[in-house]
Amino acid sequence: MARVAYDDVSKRFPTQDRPAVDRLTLDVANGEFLVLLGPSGCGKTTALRMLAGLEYPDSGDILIDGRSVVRLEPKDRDVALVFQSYALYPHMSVRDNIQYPLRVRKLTAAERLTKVDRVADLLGIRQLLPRRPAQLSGGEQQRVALARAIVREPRVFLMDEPLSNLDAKLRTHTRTELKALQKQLGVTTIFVTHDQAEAMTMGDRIAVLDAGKLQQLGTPDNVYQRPANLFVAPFIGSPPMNIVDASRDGEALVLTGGWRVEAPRGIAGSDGIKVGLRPEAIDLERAPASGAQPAEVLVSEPLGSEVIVNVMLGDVLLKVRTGPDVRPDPGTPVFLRARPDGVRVFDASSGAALN
Amino acid sequence: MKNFFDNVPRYLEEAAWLDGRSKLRALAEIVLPVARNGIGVVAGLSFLAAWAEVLMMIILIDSQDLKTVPLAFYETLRTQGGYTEVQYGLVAAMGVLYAVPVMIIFLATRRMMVRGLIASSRGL
Repeated sequence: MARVAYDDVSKRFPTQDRPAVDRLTLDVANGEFLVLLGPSGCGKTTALRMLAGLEYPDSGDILIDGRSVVRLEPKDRDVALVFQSYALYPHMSVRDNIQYPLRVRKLTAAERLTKVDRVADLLGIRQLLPRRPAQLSGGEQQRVALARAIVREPRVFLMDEPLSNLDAKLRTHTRTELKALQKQLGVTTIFVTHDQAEAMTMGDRIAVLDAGKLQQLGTPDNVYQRPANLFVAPFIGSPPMNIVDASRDGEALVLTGGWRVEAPRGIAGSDGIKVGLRPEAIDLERAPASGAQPAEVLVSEPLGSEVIVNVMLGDVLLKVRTGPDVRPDPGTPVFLRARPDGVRVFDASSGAALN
Repeated sequence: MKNFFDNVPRYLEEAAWLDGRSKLRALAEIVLPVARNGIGVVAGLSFLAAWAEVLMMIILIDSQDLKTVPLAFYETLRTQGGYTEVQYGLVAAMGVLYAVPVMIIFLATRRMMVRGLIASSRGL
């Protein structure tokens, strides 16, 4: 168990014109499950590999428990990495794969046996121990890779998109298991993913990265409810946040299509703003009411427990989340009302959140 | 040979480093065993090439004691080829003896050779 800190870390690859990681500063608490989230090429894997010692930062420092590790070889850092492709040694049995790090640490055969069996029981892979990696399914390989990381009781777990090679059903299942396992073991974990649903469900906190820069660091709720800028807002959440051009008119914000919503308190500036509304921050009414904006239904998408109603507001498409029994036909006139606490305002040029 | 090493995924080596191995031991314990089919193919083919090599041996070897097996064939056929009949029984027996080491090497490395040759045609 350990604390991890990135202190102003930058890294640029010679073939690229912008840094892969740009002045990243980040603290990970002892026992925390931190998710590095971002689109491909945002620098999240590079950040992880620098902590593992597989890449060297150009500047800045990386600390584990307050001690700089940038000059240490990977073998001396005591961190375990679960690779996206699992990186199981193909010429060894599953048992040999799992006990490899223990063999390296010169544990006796009896100690290795006990530890491997215990981890195998924990992950339910006892019956796989005599097999070779090539004889395992993707999900089984994933468990073996996890077992190899857990068995050595490292200070930090690093996971580089470990669920992305699993099919959708298994991925959801493993997500739950992995989160429970991490809480049980209490080991500081840094988990890289491009999947916002994974980040939301698993992380104690999420660090959103784009173009090498940290965009926002916060709890899943915080990042979801109060996105820091126009990159984070549509990236988190499914369906994404509706972003609409707007202007200020006294106490109201006037959205495209003439929709007037009450301005949240403390918003400075009047021009060049955009309003963000989560699909669940819009109420949909069938009858006209004062203050409700008329719009027209494009199509309804039932998802069983809820319906996503796509609404045209002028030429802007809005997604509205409603209950399962509300599914208006295309062309139906509806009336929209924004929930006052769900209105997010952004500066159009800088993208920064204003409330 | 380089292709066989290139085909060993880099993350296997990195995994071994993170498991606590030095770069040299990761090479010996992970990369070499994974590339062993390729090493087997190259070793087998190199042996065969050296074993069957004639031209260089004719040029370089002049001591009777050092002459290689193909040179013995050559000598036998040359001395017998002028006026006397070639002793095909002798030549055939020499052929069998000539093939024995090659067969032993092949049988010993057969699995690696087959896998390696397959791998070289489709990637590891």
